[in-house]
Amino acid sequence: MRQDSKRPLTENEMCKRVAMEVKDGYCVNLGAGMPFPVANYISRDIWSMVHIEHGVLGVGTVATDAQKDRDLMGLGRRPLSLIPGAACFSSVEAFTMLRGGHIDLSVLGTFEVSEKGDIANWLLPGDCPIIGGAMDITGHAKRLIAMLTHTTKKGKPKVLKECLLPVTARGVVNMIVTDLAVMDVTPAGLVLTETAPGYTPEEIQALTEATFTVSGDLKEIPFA
Amino acid sequence: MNKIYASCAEAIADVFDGATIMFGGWGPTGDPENLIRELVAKGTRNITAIASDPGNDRDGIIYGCHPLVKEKRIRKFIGSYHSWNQEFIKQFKAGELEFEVCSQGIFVERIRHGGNGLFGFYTDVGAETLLAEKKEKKVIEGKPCVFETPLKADFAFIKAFVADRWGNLQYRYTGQNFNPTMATAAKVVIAEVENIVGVGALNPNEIHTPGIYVDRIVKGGCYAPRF
Repeated sequence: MRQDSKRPLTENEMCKRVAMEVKDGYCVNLGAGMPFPVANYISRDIWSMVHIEHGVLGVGTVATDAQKDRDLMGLGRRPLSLIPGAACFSSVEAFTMLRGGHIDLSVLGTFEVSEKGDIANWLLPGDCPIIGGAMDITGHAKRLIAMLTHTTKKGKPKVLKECLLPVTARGVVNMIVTDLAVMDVTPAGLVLTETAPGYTPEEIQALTEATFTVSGDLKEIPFA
Repeated sequence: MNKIYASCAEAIADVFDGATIMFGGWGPTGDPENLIRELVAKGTRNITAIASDPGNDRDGIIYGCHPLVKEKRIRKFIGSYHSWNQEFIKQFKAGELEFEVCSQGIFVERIRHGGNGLFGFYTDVGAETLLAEKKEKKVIEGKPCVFETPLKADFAFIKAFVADRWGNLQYRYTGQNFNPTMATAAKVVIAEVENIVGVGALNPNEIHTPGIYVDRIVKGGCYAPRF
């Protein structure tokens, strides 16, 4: 597909974009669901360790058939591999790393996010709650990226002035990556820094309830 | 003394209806599956289960507390998420099952306090959520915090890879999860293990759970495929 054709990002492309935020020396926590494949796109030229709440620091990729181990599985029942230098530990330790502020970057999937950096990802009305470790993570990682599709399947905005769903935590998101845009959450509000191929800031604003300013350095999301 | 039990049935013989039981494991690793199967067979009802998640049956691969959920043996569940267990969600929505939910790190810390003689703690985790409504509140270091109470149980069913005959335990990879913490927080701790070795066979530097916490040890008979 040509780079200049207009289209939203695939989930894997969103993961690829998030992976560009991982810097040398980072310990990165990846949430269940949408963020997990980020691990596949982190540059091999830097030293980084992927943390999951199951009690692993140093997750590799999904295990090959030969590597599969009944005692080494993570999010979504995926058999995992480890990288050299990995450590395995208890849940107490896993959450000490998270809550204690030792994780450089955490990436969470979410239902909604607000312009103030509020995140809502644990309760849909009338549904059974699903927290996992999300509340421990929000507010305690040094940096938090929220990953979500820009709108619902019916086209309703998910980047909002105020979350409509019950919040998980307030003022904790630093960056938003959607299938249409990359935004920074700043004290002055949202700043659009990158767009999906072919999208204009006006088109993105039309699909966003929150208002944002446009970065002077606005560009298309790089895929390379 | 002898902590070794010949069968899971003997190891859980005194588990009673209405008991509060901790179950180690998260998703498909580290769950005491043989003990759970035996508890279903025993017919124990009205259980308050303390576990990360209710497990599931995915394409015939069954793990965690799912066998108990399926047979409606659990009255109340204290954990962190529903693990997309449709039967669990159905019972929750029908009001047949009470679900006390807390974030997973707070869940395990409450168990840790239950096991180490502390009486709860303040945290900012969840302090701005609906979960905070009925909790004691306090501002600490400028942050709104809530008080979390300890969790204890009548029994803990845990899973380790290897035990020596005194109950020193070692876990493997993600099979560790909540097991070592639960081992400290119940009146009776029953460890299901894949191997039992003699006292002195384990390297003292490589023991995760010291034997002091473990009351009963049983060798699991069947570890069903998980892939």
